[in-house]
Amino acid sequence: MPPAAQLIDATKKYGSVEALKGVSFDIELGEVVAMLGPNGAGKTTSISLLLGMRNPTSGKALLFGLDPKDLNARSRVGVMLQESGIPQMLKVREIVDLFRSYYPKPMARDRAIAMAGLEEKANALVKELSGGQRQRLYFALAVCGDPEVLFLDEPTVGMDVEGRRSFIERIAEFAGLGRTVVLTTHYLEEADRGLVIADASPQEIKSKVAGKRVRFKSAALTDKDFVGLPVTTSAIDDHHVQLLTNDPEAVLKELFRRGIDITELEVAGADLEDAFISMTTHKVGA
Amino acid sequence: MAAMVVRRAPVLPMLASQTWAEFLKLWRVPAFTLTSIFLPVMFYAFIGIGQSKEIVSPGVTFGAYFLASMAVYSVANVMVFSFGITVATERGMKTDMLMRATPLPALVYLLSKACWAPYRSSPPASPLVTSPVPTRLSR
Repeated sequence: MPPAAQLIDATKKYGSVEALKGVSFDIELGEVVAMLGPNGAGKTTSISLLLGMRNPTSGKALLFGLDPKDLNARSRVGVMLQESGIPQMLKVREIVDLFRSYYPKPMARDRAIAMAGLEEKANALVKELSGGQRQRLYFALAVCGDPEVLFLDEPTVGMDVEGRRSFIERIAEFAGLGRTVVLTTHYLEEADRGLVIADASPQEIKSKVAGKRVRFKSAALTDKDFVGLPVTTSAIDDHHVQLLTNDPEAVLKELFRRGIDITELEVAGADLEDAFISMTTHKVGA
Repeated sequence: MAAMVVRRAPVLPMLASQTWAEFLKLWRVPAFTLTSIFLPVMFYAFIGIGQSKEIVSPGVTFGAYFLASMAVYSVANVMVFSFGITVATERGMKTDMLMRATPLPALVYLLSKACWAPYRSSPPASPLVTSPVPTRLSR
């Protein structure tokens, strides 16, 4: 059984800009994968290669072991793109019906609309929908073909907190049917909700990058004061200092030994966002 | 790969629903319905019917001649709207990106635009049919 989606040493250049540099990964059926990365990291490019919307400059993209342009492969995939419009003059149920006709075994129209929570808007024209509702409509269009793999590119952009929360629940509901979900996001807490990042679970990444966050206030410190401390990253903002470390005890011992005055000390487990920042800034420095 | 059964949606229903959608898209735009359906019918009613029996050349009445002219005018309008304007707007909104990610074959998409053009411009071809009122269609 070939993996659901696969990039093999894929490179993509837009003119002289290299958006992807030899990226390889496999996404197996039944996995839920979140792609994390700062803007411009190549998340959307990876997805458009996997969907056959763009061709890799070198390397390969495969869907179910097939060329992504193969309609047999595409018929098993549902997509929600970051930027895409849909015809404004169609009603919600009409456009859902239209997209259902593209797929061999679509789910019932009402079920797709219900999964997106758009029951009340089924008879509204697309142009009458609010931004969040439109986003939910894209979700309905992505799931209406009852796909085995769902690609969601920044699905919650522009949604309020409540909207995002319920949206993530809908995605989880779909994943709960045993389907594969690939989503890109820069909202880290979405990826933190038990979803898998890249090739590691959120816990693994957090422990790999930085176990604890040490925060305190101290007057007149510079980066030099932290030389030799076992920290992964350090940040000083005014008098607020933030250190990420795997060994907070040693850090504190050393700080006290150096006789640095500390107030408002706080030691906490780093969240994914800290880990993420630490990982990506690390890369820049390397 | 060998184990994979062909699992694709049948093309004809796809073409039918795409054609229906293309029709609805334009039908709901008054600027379109007015210029390509209502106007040709009106012109024919004003100019064509009154002198429809006149012979313009052997075997051709003015009625038939003018009817054909209006039909062509209407089809041309559909072409401009359906192929020109909608394709441009849809590309501008990146609808084409979404379409390209679906299993809809590009050919079906184009065909659907071509398919309904003659169908839609049939009212001028039968001007005695009650002229469609260019308001919102509530299906």
